[in-house]
Formats: sequence, C-alpha cells, structure tokens
Amino acid sequence: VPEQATSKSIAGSVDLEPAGYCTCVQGPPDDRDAAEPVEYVVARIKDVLAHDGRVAALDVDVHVADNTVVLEGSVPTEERRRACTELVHTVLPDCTVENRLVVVHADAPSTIEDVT
Amino acid sequence: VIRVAAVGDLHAGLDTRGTLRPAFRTLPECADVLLLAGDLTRVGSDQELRVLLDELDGVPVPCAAVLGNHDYESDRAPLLTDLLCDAGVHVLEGSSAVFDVGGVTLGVAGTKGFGGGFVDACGSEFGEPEMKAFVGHTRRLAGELFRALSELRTDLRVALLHFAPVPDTLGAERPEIYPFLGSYLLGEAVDHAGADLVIHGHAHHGLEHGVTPGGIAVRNVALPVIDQAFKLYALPVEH
Repeated sequence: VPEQATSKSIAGSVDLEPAGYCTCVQGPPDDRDAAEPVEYVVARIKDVLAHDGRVAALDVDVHVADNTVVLEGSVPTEERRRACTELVHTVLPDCTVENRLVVVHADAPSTIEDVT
Repeated sequence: VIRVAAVGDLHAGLDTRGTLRPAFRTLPECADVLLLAGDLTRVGSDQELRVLLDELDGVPVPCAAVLGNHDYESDRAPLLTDLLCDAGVHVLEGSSAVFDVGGVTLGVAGTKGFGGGFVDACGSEFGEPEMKAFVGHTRRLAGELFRALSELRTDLRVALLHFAPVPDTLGAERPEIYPFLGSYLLGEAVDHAGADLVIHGHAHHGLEHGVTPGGIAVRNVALPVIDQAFKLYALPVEH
C-alpha cells in the first residue's frame, strides 16, 4: 500500500490484483498500472458484494484505510457474514478484513404497538 | 383492534432455512394478518422463495406481500408471484386484498414502489428518455397505489410498499442515496387516498417510525431495522 494512504476511510490508493478488473470501474485495465484510488477500490468491493449470489448485499458499508477493509452493517446469516470476508479477498487478497457485520435476530416480538 | 404483523427484507436463501419458522409459528396467537414488505429473497430465485414458503407452511394466518427489488434480480418475478399465490399469499402490485377479521374488514393495497427521491431533492421526468422512464415508473406505480387504496371500502386500510414513501424512516441512510430508497410520489398517493398505516422496507439503515406529510403513520419494517422476525401493530376500529 502506498504511503499516501491515510487513516481516512476514502483516501490514498491501493495496489490491486491485475486479474478481475471490475466492470463497475470504467476505463481500460492497462491504465490502472500499480495503484488504484481508494474510491474505486471501495466501489469494486461493493460491486462484488452486490453481485455475488451468496451475499447479494447492497447495504454493506465498506471503508478502506491502509491495507485494512472494514465492513459494517447487518446480514441475515453467519454464512453470509463469512462470505463477505472471502469476497473482499477476491479484490484485495492480502488485505486485513475487519468484519464488523452483525447477524440480525429473528425472534418473535413480545410487544405490540398501538397505532393511533 | 386488528393486529397486523409485518416484516420486510427477509432476503431468504438456502442458508436462512429454519431461522424464521419458530417465530412464524407464534403468529396465530398474536396476529390477524401478516404483511411482507418485499425483498423476500436474496436474488429472486424460486429456490430461495421456496425456503421462505416452507417457513410459512402451516401457519394459518392470512398473508399479503409485495415484491422488492431483490425479487426482480433474476427476472423471475412472475414465477415468484405464481408461487406465492399458489401458497395462498396475496401478491399486491397496484392491487388490493381484503381480510375479514371477526366482522371487521381490513383492506391492504400494495405496490413495490420505486425511487426518485423526496421533495426538493428528487428526479423529474425531464430530459433523457432514461430519466423520464425512471421517474415515470414511480409515478405510474404511485397512481396505481392511489387507485387501489381509493377503491377500498373497508373499516381499515393499510398501504404496503417496499420502497419508502417518506424520508422520515430513512434514518442513518446516506442522503445521497435517498432517491434510490423511495419517492414522495408514494407518500402523496397515500395521503390523497387515505390510509390508517403505511408499511415499507428497503432502507436497512433506516428508522422504524415515521409519518407522511398528511399525518399517516409509516413503519419501516426492514428486518435489519426491527431486528426481530416481525413487528406487531394494533389498529383500532372506530364505530
């Protein structure tokens, strides 16, 4: 990761694997060279999370800083939570994933609201 | 009162099998009707929907549903609709269903709805055909919702949506994506037609409680918002 990457969630640039150029990022792959602005890395990760059938999550918050990817939000199952980490690694194989996703509860409610 | 159970954004998949059934089994004791506010599946496959239908199998509570954007992902919305109907679920899209609960009638009018944004920050049917189609789609669905709600002659009326009709219930969603989360046209349709409650989902980072500009209660029942299998609302009947 280049030194200009900072602790801000959207800043700096990240080395990307040559393979798997993401369709959500326009422009010829040859132009990417060594570093990709972090904005596009976030877009690539979100695109993978949205389009992989195991997850299909449009609402995961993705933050990239230095070589760490932080995921926040909620998913219905533990399987999908784990799959999110795996999918991030398809974009950034060597990054650290801080998976803060929570699995939603599915208990029956104990109260009823009077709507007036 | 009529007791309404509601939930949206269940995003059923093979990995969710069995997660909701224990809670759904309590429905006969606590609810008169179950409303499903779209995004029943993860990517709109019939296998995913069958998982949800298995969870509901044998639960003797009448049910109405709208589809959500995820349910359209595999271009199989008509098949999903047929499967739901075969299972006894009323699938609403510019249409309505009437439930008789001990002599009290509840009408539910529904549409998936669509985006466009909210007043002062919304798209217009202007310019490129793609932009006209985007906003025009929402306007058409809102018009059909208005008609379906207006035609109901029931003691109580509920509007069932997937997309949001007001920004109140969008909560912590980023304002930049509000136009993809709902439209004021849906809220306007409900206010003009009248209703006792509006149910929607779609905004996972939203808030449960809101109100239309006309004063009608709005509830966002997206599963990540309510963090339980469903919410219960008691609607009083005035005689």
